[in-house]
Amino acid sequence: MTDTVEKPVGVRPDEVHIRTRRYKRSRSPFGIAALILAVVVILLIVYPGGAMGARLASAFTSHSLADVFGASWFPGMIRDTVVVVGLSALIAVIIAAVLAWVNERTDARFRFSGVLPLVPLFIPTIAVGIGWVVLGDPTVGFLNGILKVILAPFHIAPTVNIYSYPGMIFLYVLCLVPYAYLPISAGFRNLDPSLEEASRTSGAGPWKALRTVSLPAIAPALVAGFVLVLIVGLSLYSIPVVIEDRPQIDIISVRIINAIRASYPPAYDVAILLSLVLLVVLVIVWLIQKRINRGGRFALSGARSAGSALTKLGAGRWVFRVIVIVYGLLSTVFPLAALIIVSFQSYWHADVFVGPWGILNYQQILFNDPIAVTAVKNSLVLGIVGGAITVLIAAILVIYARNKRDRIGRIADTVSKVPAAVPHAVLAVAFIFAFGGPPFNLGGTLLILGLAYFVTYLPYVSIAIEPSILAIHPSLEEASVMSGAGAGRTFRKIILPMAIPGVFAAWALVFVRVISDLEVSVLLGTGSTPVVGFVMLDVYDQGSVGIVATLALFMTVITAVVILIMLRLGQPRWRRSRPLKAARRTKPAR
Amino acid sequence: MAQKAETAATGIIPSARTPERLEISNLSKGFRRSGGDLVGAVSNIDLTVSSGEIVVLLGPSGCGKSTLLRCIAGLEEPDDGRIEIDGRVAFDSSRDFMASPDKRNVSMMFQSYALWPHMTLRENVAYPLITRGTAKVAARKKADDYLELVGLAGLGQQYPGSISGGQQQRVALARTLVSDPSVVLFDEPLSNVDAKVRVQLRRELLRIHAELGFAAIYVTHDQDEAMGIGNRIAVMREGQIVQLAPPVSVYEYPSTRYSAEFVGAANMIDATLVSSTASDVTFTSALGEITAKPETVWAGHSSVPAPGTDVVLMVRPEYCGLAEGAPADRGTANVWEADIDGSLYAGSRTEFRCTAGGISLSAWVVGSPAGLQKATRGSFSIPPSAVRAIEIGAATND
Ligand SMILES: Nc1ncnc2c1ncn2[C@@H]1O[C@H](COP(=O)(O)OP(=O)(O)OP(=O)(O)O)[C@@H](O)[C@H]1O
Ligand SMILES: [Mg+2]
Repeated sequence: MTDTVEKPVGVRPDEVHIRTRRYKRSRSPFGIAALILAVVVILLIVYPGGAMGARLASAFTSHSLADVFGASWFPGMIRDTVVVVGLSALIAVIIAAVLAWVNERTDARFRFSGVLPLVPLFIPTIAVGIGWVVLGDPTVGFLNGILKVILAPFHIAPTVNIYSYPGMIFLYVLCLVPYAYLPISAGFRNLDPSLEEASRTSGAGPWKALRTVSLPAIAPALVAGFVLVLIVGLSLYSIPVVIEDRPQIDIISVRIINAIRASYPPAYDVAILLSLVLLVVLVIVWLIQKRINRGGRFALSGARSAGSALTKLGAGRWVFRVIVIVYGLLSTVFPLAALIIVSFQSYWHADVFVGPWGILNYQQILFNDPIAVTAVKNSLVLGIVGGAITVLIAAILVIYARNKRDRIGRIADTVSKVPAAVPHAVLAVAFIFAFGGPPFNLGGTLLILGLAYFVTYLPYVSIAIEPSILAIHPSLEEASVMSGAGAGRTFRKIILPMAIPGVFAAWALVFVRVISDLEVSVLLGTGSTPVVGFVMLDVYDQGSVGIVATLALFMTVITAVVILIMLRLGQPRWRRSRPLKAARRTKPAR
Repeated sequence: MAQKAETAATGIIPSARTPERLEISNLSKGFRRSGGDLVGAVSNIDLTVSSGEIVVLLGPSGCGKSTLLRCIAGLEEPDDGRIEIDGRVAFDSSRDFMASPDKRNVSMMFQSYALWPHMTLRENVAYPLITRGTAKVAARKKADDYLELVGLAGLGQQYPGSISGGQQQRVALARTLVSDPSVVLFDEPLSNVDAKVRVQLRRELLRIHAELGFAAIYVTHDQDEAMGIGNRIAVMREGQIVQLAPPVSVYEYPSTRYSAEFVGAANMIDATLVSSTASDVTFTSALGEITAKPETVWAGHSSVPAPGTDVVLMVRPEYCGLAEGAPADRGTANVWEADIDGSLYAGSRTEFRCTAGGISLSAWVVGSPAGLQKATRGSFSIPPSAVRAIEIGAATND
């Protein structure tokens, strides 16, 4: 008829021809750098994995299989490891859940109560271990000395013995709680309070609400916490290494390291087969976790309305406050106090209040032990410089991976998280095979240590830094690009400064981990490239607890100072925009 | 280059360039949903924007406005088509070429302000200059000029966190314009501020635009804003532009039922053409006979259809009349008896809902006529010059 009317609109979406082709465009220098970094990171992780695999194949000889799986110690080691790690993981998750619930959901929380469970993350684990040895040694432990004095009038003399199953499990729990606390508290924090409120308004008491609504809803977080704790627990070395000798508790992580460190020539096959056992267990745990989480996605959304849904505990809140405080005392205050006291004792004895006092231990370290001084220097350099590099690379990878167009970026992001699931001793062993010998010949250099630390702690850093980078609204980045800035300038001028708090927190975290690392240090460090972990174990093996304690204290103090400086530097000088600030001001309701 | 230098030296002076600053042809962009479905966010768009012109993109949520802007900016990668900015190709699918956003002379103002919280206002505004190589001192000077231009003189040392939302929006505007861009893209820039501030900012935006003369594409949901700010309005629907015309044309002579209903309120009447002469056009409908004026009813159509053709007629309710009582004379043209179903008082007018001949109609009457509000019947009238034919031929169901 006529064509006066414009053609009716309505190309239906499914008729639209969509091309998914990529246009040629020049990569920016930043893009090229990021690409290279991504490839290097992938290689640094995949290559040792491959080297390990190759070596594994050759380790499958009937002889070495019999050496490990047929050995008389094997069943006992499995039993001890399962009992210690399994029990302490369970207990740690329960304690962490209680602490997290108290801090996130009840009116029992108080200033710093949310930080207390995390403090141990920032203290070298071996310092806690040695602190408790000093406290809990059956003959010269401070606790026993104090108990003897207190209980003398009653004519009873119980002894605390840290060298025992309960002692070992106790220390594992102390160290594992923070790892479980992180995901579980996040779970409680993200839990939609209206769920709980709905349950309360339909007549359930606080306990019923917790049991029927909150706990099932945070089940995935509990599982995640348990898995994380299992991984950390299975690879934990600093606790068993200071305890295990006397009670003869046989832990797999110690076996792996001793196979290389304490036998000559190093029994690599043993180490590698035991590592395989660990990896298999971890893969199984991981599969179970996936299975459980598939069961249902729980309502874990919704912004928390500040303070509104806090469960009122009444007078009972003091019980929970005491639990929080006791955890702080046991995990931090007591062991550190013990270290301080013993470091000033001229020789270690149970009587806390009696001298002779002196600074002999300090003199010994500072003036008579050049290796210790070098070790501290090396560790500081690796922690600060290596840590900074790790943080920077992690930040670049996170941003690079956020750009969905780039496949290599995503691969690097995924691959960089894999080492988190591998026990550190296993990683170190893989590094020995990959880089220790020809063609790289990096064995006995600081570089191989640095690379191993990098790979080991990269996952922790990316996980720590990711939220603060992803929280930067994409439009802020786009506004920079629209202002004519390239990717590199946008990274330097916009993203990094805005992510400063996260960047410094991640830096502090990797610094502590490097300083207090034992597994990698012991396996890759040497007399000519000593690091703190290496020296500490050496001295401990020689039996001088006073000096080890002093060294541990020394490290704790240095760590604390460096961390305080880093966190201080990490404070943004600019004000957050108002809504953010208001949302943050969530004072506990009274 | 010479122009740039001159602009930097003299402050804020529009530079004379070719009139066409932005030419888009046949642009398409689809998204693949996570389920694998394809969404054609933008399909076959042709659009040219000249120097000093503001084209408003108006359309419902999800019709592809932001996607189109982001394609022009270079933040999204189109699937097909060609974009030319300032005479330079920014994207050309036939040559597999795409310029990165920082290489296009385009600026964009975001709905969320997107001010960098760690920089002072002055640093925020100076940033686009510094990235393009302006010396620090000159950049700061110009940033201050532009802060003054948007009415924030003296606040240069503040951080974005310590100023109000309206002020943040002004800073964002200054930052968008400071680099003397050829084309400025606005994605709902005023939707986060309250109505008063929005009106005020809109007025200032127009003042600044008159001063600087950039070409702009402006996205909004708000039709008042679209009418007030655009030289032309592009009404969008499902990724396509259904009408591109000056505001008066879009409102008075909508080319489709869709744009008639999206921009403003409309009475729709299905009718059949009886006769069309040089002085009068007559239709029949459920209402009865409708008379219209040929110069207005066929406006926008290239030819007059044959008698007997079905059409959809559109009348804006503010042109319709409603009076108390039955029509004085039943034979009067375009006046019908109607049931008054209800009324809604809207301040400047009262909106009446009526039914006549089985058709729902609405009429807007100035003020608040007390008699009419109580009445249940009245006479509904349509001036012949207010009738528009918007769909000719087989009436389509929307
Ligand atoms: N990144 C993306 N991935 C998948 N689909 C997208 C993406 N961005 C936009 N879309 C889809 O493309 C279509 C157009 O979106 P667009 O954001 O351009 O709409 P809009 O007109 O700006 O809407 P609004 O007015 O709500 O801002 C929508 O259907 C949207 O769901
Ligand atoms: Mg939009």
